[in-house]
Amino acid sequence: MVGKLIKVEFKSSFRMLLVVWVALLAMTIIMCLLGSFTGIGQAFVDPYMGAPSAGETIVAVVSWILYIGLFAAVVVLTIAVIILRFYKGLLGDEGYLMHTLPVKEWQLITAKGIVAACAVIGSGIVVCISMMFIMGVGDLSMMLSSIKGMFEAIGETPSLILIGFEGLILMVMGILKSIYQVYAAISIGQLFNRHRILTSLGAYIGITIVLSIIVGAATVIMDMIGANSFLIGWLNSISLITADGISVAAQIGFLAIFLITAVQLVAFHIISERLLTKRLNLL
Amino acid sequence: MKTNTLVECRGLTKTFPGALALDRVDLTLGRGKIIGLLGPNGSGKTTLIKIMNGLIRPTAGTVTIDGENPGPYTKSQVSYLPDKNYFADCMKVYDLLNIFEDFYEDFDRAKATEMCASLGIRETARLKEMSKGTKEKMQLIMVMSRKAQLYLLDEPIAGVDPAARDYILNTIISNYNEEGTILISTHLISDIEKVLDEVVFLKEGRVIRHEAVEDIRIKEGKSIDEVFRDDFRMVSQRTSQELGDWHYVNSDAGEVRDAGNAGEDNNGTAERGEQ
Repeated sequence: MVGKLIKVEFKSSFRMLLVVWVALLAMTIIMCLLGSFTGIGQAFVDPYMGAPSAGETIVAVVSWILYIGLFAAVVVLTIAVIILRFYKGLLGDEGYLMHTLPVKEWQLITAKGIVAACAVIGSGIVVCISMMFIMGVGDLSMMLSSIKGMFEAIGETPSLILIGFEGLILMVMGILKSIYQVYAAISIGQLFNRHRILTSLGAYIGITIVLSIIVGAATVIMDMIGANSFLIGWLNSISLITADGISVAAQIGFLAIFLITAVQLVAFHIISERLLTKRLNLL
Repeated sequence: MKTNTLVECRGLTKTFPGALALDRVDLTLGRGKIIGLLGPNGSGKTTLIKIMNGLIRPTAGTVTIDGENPGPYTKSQVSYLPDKNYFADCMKVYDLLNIFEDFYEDFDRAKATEMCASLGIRETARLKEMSKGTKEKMQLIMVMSRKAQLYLLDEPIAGVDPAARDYILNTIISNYNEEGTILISTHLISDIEKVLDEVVFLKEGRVIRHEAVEDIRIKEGKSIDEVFRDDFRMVSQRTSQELGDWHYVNSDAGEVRDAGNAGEDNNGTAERGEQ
């Protein structure tokens, strides 16, 4: 059922996003072709290139404005997809369809979360590609040498593959955790019959404050009982004892971050699921 | 094992801030019937239907459909037509057909396609390109193309012209699963009373009457529309032909309430936003 829900959600979420992704990439290519990044752009700072003509300046300024606008559109639309697809899709008029499908609430929330995470990752990839061209990595030889350098580093230290993989998992989990925090806040907001957006915003801020307090309190308590210095000492000793010690210490660090993120992710998911199951209030 | 009882509400209560929408509703609905859920605006019809669908939770009491609390099982048995457009405008007709086919085992795609074709609706048409009336018909087609145990139709004939009203009623009558039950909420009683087996009168969140239509006619010698007017003591301050504006009297409190623009009511504006 989650797969079927994801299919429905993908169609609704990616329609607009695909348009801005393609537009941003197309604009990046156009600007490269126009030499906006290298030629015209450099002419402003490079005295030996000579001043750009009025026409070149206009083209450069207009293309930069368009580019920045599209860049902002990608960012704004991605955030809008996260918030609106949940708010409108489950708590607006569309919710009348979604909540009368024979599925469980956790399946609805999971499908929304996965598709929103894909939107964030997709936008991230598009933005990265575009930025690479902006920063001049558009030069194919430079890009190839970077990739070659990366493979050489992996050849020298194979554990980099594991670290890279773990980093990827942590990144995806971090994205999902942030998305589910938004969902939990909106699920709290829907309990109210009026000012739902404001109460959702309040709930989001409230959750963030509570999390900060918990982290702060945990740090203080651990410091008081000497756990912090013990942990640092322990990690130091591990990194010195074995030949692969630094890697082991890094693994322990990854595990700790993984657990902290996983606990938050699960907690936010449970909050959203319980509220929508037990206290759904579709106006 | 199937019992004769399809829907059972016990002490169903729903409060909203400053309002009691449903007040200890006890109601049992059987199978294979067409039942009118009748009451003026704000009487709790939409709230009752939304609770049966699991879209809002009751403050107190229980509701079961085919012996189960609202949940995935009951949703697979209930075909619901809300009083608003619940399909995303960006969807195409075939998106809707795919969704219903994917999620509802009792959905008859061929029947839905045929009904769309009879109205000249292409599968590639987008909902945002359709008129309000066509969108409403589209929703009805999807809902009535299911072989459900229970059809919950919230104001299906409100806000449409008489010709569309006939189309909607014909579509309902000729397409529902005869072993199932239709609960149809409306305040346009004269249009639907000829098809009803039973009526439930809801007033200020309470069931004040639940009887077979035939029994009412024999016992009281009146149409359901007349009985409804008597029960709710509607009085026309001026004739509807003159003004299209009427009021009803709360028979318990003697309070006169504005029931809204009768031009809308008679032509059927839904209880949009009713809680």
